[in-house]
Amino acid sequence: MKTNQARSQVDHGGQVQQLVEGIADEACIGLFEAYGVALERVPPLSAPDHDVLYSGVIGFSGPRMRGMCVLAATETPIRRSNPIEGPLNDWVAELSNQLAGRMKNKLLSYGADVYLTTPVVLRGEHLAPIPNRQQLPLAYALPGGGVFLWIEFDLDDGMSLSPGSGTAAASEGDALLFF
Amino acid sequence: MKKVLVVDDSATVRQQVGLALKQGGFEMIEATDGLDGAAKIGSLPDIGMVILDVNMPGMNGIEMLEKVKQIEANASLPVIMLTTEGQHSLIERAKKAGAKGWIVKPFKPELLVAAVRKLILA
Repeated sequence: MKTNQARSQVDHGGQVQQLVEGIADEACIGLFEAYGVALERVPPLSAPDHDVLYSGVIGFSGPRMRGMCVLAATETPIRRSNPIEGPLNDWVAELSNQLAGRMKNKLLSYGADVYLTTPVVLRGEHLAPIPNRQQLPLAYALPGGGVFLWIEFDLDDGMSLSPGSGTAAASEGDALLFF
Repeated sequence: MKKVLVVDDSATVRQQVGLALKQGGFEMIEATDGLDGAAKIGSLPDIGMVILDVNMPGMNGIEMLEKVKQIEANASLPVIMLTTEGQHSLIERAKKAGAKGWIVKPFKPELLVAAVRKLILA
């Protein structure tokens, strides 16, 4: 039987997860859009899962918080978003890095100051992480392919994320010159 | 003309930046991380500017910037950070170390080339 404290921690964790997934959702759609690929959010099980998947994994860690982000996609969205005709595995790593960067910059405004690991790329069929929680990925469809996003984010007891409690960050495409 | 050193662990980004620089009339030298970048600045005299990522394995871009700028000969070498990071404390740290600019990815090629032109010809 769970104690009241344990129940409130689960609720708290669920709220944090929901918040971070919302941030990840916005970041993922914005990232692909920036590279000319429109994604449509779909229920996870309706997205294709039989193509070869490329996956980029990035870890988050900060004071009393940690998490991970797995960006997986079929070849089509990776190839279409690639600004040059270069190796797809390298581009998956960079996309994962830019996705995590967008999330980090947004999380800063909630008072979460996290450090990003460098990305690790995997390639294979039917890849899926084994998260601490039972969860389905965020899923997106586009003609001829799919994108999947697993997000996990945990705070220690007593930590919380509040809008406006942190600092604003520079946004994607911003150019600051110091003269 | 002096060349632009592009330090990024992503070959795609190096190639993308290289293409933009070529279209702007500049030549590029590549480095894959901070250690490689610092070594090339120390050994190649024709580097006139640096475009530098932050999150890289080994030595990251901020560490490389601080290391390179400790050497007097590099004091006037212009450096632009090109990164996914937008955290103001990092931007301030780079500025204090001597960076001349900070661009958050994804970048607009024409904006990057305009900044390079302004700094390398200054």
